[in-house]
Amino acid sequence: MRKIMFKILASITTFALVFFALQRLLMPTFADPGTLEGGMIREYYRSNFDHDVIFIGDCEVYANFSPITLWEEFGITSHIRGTPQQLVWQSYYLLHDTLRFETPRVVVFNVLSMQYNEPQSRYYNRLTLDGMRWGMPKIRAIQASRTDDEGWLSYIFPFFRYKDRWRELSANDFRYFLRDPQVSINGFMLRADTVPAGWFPQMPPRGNYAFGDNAWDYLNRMVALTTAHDIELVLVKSPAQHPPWPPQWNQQIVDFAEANDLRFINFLEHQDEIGLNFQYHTFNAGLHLNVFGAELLARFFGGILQAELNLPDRRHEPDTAQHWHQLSELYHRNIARQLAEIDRYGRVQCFLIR
Amino acid sequence: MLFTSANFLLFLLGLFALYQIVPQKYRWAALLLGSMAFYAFAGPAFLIYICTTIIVTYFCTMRMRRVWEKCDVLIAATNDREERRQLKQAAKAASRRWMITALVVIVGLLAMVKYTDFVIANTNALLVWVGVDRSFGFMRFALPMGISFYTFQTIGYLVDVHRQKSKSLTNPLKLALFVSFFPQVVQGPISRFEPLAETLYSGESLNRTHLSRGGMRVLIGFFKKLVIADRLWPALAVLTTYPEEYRGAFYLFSIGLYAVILFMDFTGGIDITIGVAEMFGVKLPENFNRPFYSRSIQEYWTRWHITMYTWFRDYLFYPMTLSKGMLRATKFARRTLGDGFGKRIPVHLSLLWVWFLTGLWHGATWNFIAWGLANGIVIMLAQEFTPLKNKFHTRFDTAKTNRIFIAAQIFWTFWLMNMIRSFDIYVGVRNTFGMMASVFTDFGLRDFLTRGVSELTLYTSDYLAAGAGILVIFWISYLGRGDVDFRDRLSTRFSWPARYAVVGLLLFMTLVLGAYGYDYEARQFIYNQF
Repeated sequence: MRKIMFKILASITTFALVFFALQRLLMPTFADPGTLEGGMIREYYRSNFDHDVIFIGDCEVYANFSPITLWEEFGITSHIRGTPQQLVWQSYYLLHDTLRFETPRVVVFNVLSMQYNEPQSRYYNRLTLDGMRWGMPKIRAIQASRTDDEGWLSYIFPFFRYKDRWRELSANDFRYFLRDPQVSINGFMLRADTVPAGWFPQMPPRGNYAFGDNAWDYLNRMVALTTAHDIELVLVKSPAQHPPWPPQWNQQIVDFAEANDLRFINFLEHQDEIGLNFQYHTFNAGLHLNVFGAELLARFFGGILQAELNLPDRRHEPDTAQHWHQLSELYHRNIARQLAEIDRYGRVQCFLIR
Repeated sequence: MLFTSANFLLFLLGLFALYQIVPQKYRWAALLLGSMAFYAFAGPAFLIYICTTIIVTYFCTMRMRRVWEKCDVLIAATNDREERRQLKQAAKAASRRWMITALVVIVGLLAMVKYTDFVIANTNALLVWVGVDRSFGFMRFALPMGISFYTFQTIGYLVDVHRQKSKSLTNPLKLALFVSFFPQVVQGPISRFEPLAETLYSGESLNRTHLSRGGMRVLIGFFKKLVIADRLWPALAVLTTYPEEYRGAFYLFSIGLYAVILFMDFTGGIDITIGVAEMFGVKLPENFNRPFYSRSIQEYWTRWHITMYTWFRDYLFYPMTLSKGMLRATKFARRTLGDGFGKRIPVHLSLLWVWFLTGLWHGATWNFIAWGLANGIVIMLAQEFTPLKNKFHTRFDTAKTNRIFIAAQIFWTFWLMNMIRSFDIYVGVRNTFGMMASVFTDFGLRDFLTRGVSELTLYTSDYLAAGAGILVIFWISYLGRGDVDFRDRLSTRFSWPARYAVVGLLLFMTLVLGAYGYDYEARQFIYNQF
């Protein structure tokens, strides 16, 4: 009997070890250009959970606001929890998740995702949800986000989602087998390259510009959650040349902010004040800001945060200052490295934070 | 519910629990409940067909039982041999009437759902041909899951009861389990009542031996289906959807590929079936015995889909060959054509008729009928050439044991069967013959070599994964040589860590290389459609 038990235990242990090793190997490392965004959510859990401001939203937050500038110029600590096409309910559950670890003074939500009322893409779902730590917020986020062809099992064991990656394994998959590469600085995707603004198609006229019930429902929940935790919720529309932000959408947010006594800042209306020039301050033709644009925006927004929301300057706190000094060094070192690579090779060779 | 779906695995876990909880006496009822649930999952409406088959079969076999019981009582009461003979004959006639009544209903159901549209299509074509401006609308019956299989299994039971080879079941629910037992209702094997009943109703507890041996068999089934058959299928779909693009050498590649896919798909499904049944302690008959090692088409059919072949042999071919009409025909043929060929004519006729029905059973299309007849004709020719073959072996008596000769026979049989199987994969009999002819008229070897197989939607990595899978299956098949169960050889030849490593390898190869989940279309087993 003892021998049988040993065999069973040995088999189960071996199976589990091999399974998780395979899962680890086959899961994307998010170390290659174009996939970096998938590694950003999990990096939050390595932070010190002491942030005055938490940004939540889609690509218009993780590329457009520089947390290091907010620190260096205003002494404001911040972290960005954003991923591509992050849907309203995903932002809501990420906020829920954040509140398990800390209670920031301000939450900034970028409203572009209000245009989506239903789950959109399983690929983007995974970029947001796979990195979340297990807990009720993640379970509910999965429930709300699953597309028709996504099964629960693949969220519990991402192996089943990524098993076909065996045919495209690269050196990076083995290099980062035991440790994750760093892809952001406090959720900020650092891009020092520049691709001037290009032409974008006009948004075709719509019959109905009203945001969907589901999107409104989660925005209302977000208001309720921040109110319950005595957090200031700030709605923003980040500056970008594309996708379009028609006046009909803007008006709905203006009305909502008024009705709920919220602050809504449409940065599109302040581009000149900020000093943005989409010939220089974007890395992909006007869709997102590069680090220099993000610094300008953070400088503008930091002033608002300090002047209107009375966020304190924390640069005199020794522990906080030491932590942020290290981040700041890392930030500037990587900007310098990327610029040197552009100088030498004509493009950035590696977008990982090193 | 696909065998290869997560739903099926969950269903199995639930049924294991139920089966183990229920007292041994009623475990068969747990299997029945599971079988009905499994069947209802395919479409609750289909339960009507299978329940009709069960009810009619039960009613008629009970009447047959009563007829024979009454006969036994009357025979016991008389000493007159002639009277006994008459009583037996009368009972046999009455029993046959009940058997025929049941057959009319259950075969009628099969014919209705499977062949009505085929008859209508051919009638319409005939009307057009004779110039009548009239056509009939199609009925478009949905084909109930496994109807061909459970109908044949039920026919076997009816005939066995009539022949008094089997006692009829007095409990209709037990009959329902025999007809609908969930692992085999989908694609067979077609079981006989007596051997199956020995384990089906025994309610043996789940135990480590059954679970591990059955589980191993199931794992191999999953491996064959997911790693090899389903991974290669898209290439075959391209080859057969655009036949005009892929002729000659591509045609040979297609039929070779189909042989691999069909073998892995069908034997994989049967492995899962037998394995699942084994886990519940139920022993099902084997359906394959390394068919690609066959040295002739006759041998092939004793190794491939064995239960179907033996069913046709025992319930159709023998009764037909030995029927009064056929015996009269034999006499007539011998008188007119001589003792040799004349004697064989009725056998050949029976053979062709049985193969015609075998083709029809596979599907209601002329392609399947052509497939069946092609098999019949080749077997018939092989029988006609037997004297020549015997002469050859007398002259070259070492040929039988010569490895090169044996390899050549295996090679020839393999490709002959592949050619016949072309009827399965191409649309239209004429088109299929055209593809066969393209080997001689339009071989296009350079075209095949330059275009290669990379344009068939699969990557090189797919072929490598499937190739690795085939090697593993070849090795397992090698372990099972000489009628030894590969699991027995595995356990006697290898230490337990090595055995577990083999299982682990199969499991992880299936998990990683299996064609399931995202970006794959879950595909039914090929034989589910029959």
